[in-house]
Amino acid sequence: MQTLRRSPRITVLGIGNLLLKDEGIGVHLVQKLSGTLDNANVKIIDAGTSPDFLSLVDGNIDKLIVVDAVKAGNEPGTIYRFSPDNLDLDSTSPISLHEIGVLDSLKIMALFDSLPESTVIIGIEPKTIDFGLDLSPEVEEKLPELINLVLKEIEETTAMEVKK
Amino acid sequence: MSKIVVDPITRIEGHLKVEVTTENGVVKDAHSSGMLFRGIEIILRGRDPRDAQRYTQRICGVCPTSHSIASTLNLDSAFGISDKIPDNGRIVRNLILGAAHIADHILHFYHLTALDYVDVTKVLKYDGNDPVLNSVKEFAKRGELAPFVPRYEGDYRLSDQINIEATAHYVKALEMRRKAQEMLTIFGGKMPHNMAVIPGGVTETVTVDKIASFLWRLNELRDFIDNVYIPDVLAVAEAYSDYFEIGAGCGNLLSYGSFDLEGGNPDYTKRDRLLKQGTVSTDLKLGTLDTNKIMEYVKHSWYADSSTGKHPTQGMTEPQPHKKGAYSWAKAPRYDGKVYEVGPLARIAATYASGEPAVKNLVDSVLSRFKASPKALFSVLGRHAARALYTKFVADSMPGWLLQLKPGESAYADYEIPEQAMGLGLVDAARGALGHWIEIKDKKIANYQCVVPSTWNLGPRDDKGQPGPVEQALIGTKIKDENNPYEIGRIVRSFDPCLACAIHVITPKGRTIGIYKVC
Repeated sequence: MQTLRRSPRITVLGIGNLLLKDEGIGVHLVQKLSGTLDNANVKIIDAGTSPDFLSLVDGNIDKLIVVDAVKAGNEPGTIYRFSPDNLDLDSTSPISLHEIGVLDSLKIMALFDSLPESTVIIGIEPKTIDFGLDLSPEVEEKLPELINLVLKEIEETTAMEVKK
Repeated sequence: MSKIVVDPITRIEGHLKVEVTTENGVVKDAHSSGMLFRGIEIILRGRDPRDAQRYTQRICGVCPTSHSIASTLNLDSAFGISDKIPDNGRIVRNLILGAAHIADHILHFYHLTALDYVDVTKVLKYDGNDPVLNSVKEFAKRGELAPFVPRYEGDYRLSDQINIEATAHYVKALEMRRKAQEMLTIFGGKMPHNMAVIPGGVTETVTVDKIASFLWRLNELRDFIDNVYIPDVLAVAEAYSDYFEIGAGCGNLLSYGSFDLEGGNPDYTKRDRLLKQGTVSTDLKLGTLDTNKIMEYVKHSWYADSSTGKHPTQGMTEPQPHKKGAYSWAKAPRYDGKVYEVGPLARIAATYASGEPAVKNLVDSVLSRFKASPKALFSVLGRHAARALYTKFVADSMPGWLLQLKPGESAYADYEIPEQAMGLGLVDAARGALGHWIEIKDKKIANYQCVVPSTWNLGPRDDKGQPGPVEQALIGTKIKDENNPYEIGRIVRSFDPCLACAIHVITPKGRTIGIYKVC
């Protein structure tokens, strides 16, 4: 029997608050990336300050790339790449609600078995989270690298074929 | 005497601290603090006035749509075109706002509130075939229920069957919210942060296809509201009926109204709206809305005392993070010098007091079911019931608006940005009265002030020492167990707080996220 194959569906989700400088990195990336890719299977979404992204991600995608500011205490501009397995999704007493948006969305998707086959979080260590529309020089400087990392994720995935 | 600090209290969307002092099991004192400073005014100064629509939407992840409407009404008024918006533009704005409010209130009940009353762990007793419930059961078996916390132990009263059904509805509600957001994007272009609502009207043209596409989603949502959402709220009310007497609050309600039914009157306080503008107290008489009576006080907020007692048009943002006696980044807005609560209860009460027949029927039928007087509306359950009835009333009104749209006709009126102008935009956001004020000089923003719903409800004491609405709702409450003060969470969440939302920073495993330091 012949197996039908199709190209993978990918969603890039940029998360952040544009008004809070480096916190808005996900949205800055989406603004740079929007319209540059000629592939109907790749969706680039400005998730802005949505408390969760459950309504924004289609259930049938093969890969989810989440871009957000990640505070891990390293040098500003440090780029991170990790999967939900590296995240403490089971924490029962979050210290701050600010972390809940992304983590809860992933958790709820896992709970309902709708987490895409491949999910990756790409983040950058912020320098300044304070009122302002621009990125700090340290983060701004790394934006092209961050974009390349996202493009690489997309290319690697599109190179694969998935069963229909 | 002992102190209970509940921090944070919003389940998903903001950062708010509530500190309660108890004596002999009764709340003696309460302080609610917004812990993040809001600097939108600083960002907007000197910019093109039209940027206000784009940037104020970014203040909050939950209310971007309401900010888009308030800022646009504000710009319409500053540009002198508030009475010139074509009907198509006015109605499409209503449809966009209505879709947002439906999505929002469903989210609030199932994903923020229900967990105070529904015991999700009862899913362990589920023995049916529903794959989603079985998946939740598997997670519960492993003790992994992170999205369903923080919650308190001990006061769950619903039957196993209702607990399990409500858990299934939690899942269904996510799907319904998605439908409501899809509905929004038909005319709004995208969600969050729609692009369609602009001064002069909307960017979207009205077509028959869009109307049809909107309508079939709306029908499904109305079915969910009537047959799932409202019955679940009533089931909670049955089991927790003592919460009709808990959390009364200040007894004064303020509504800016929502959904313009006509566009001819340039004065938003007098324009005919589906939900009425005005003030209502426990006597349920409707008072006229006069925005000149709005003042903001900062004696207990971290801002310079010289900026106290100002009308929003004169508003200033002068942070003083070390000010003695201050405990909040929120200011204390007051109406006519008095404390007012805002939110769905306020707009339902104002509309009820105006004699609107559909709202009167809805409210009276709920009150008679619980043999309660209208006074019972001023309570934890009164707020939840009002929110649900509001959702129904709006959803039931929307098919009529779709029929009034005229495909092919304009949804936009042109305008010029004036050299100098003042503007005012008023609308009820999902969480209550939302006001935007603008001053334009040299075609640029000279001043921009937003007075948002959660500032009304969760603001601190004013200069006269009057506690804010949530503080008043807490004071006097009996606490059964100080180690497990579920009453506090239930009272505060009934207001649907949303302070300083919109920060998303994630942390890899093993690291604690820092508390934000703002200055």
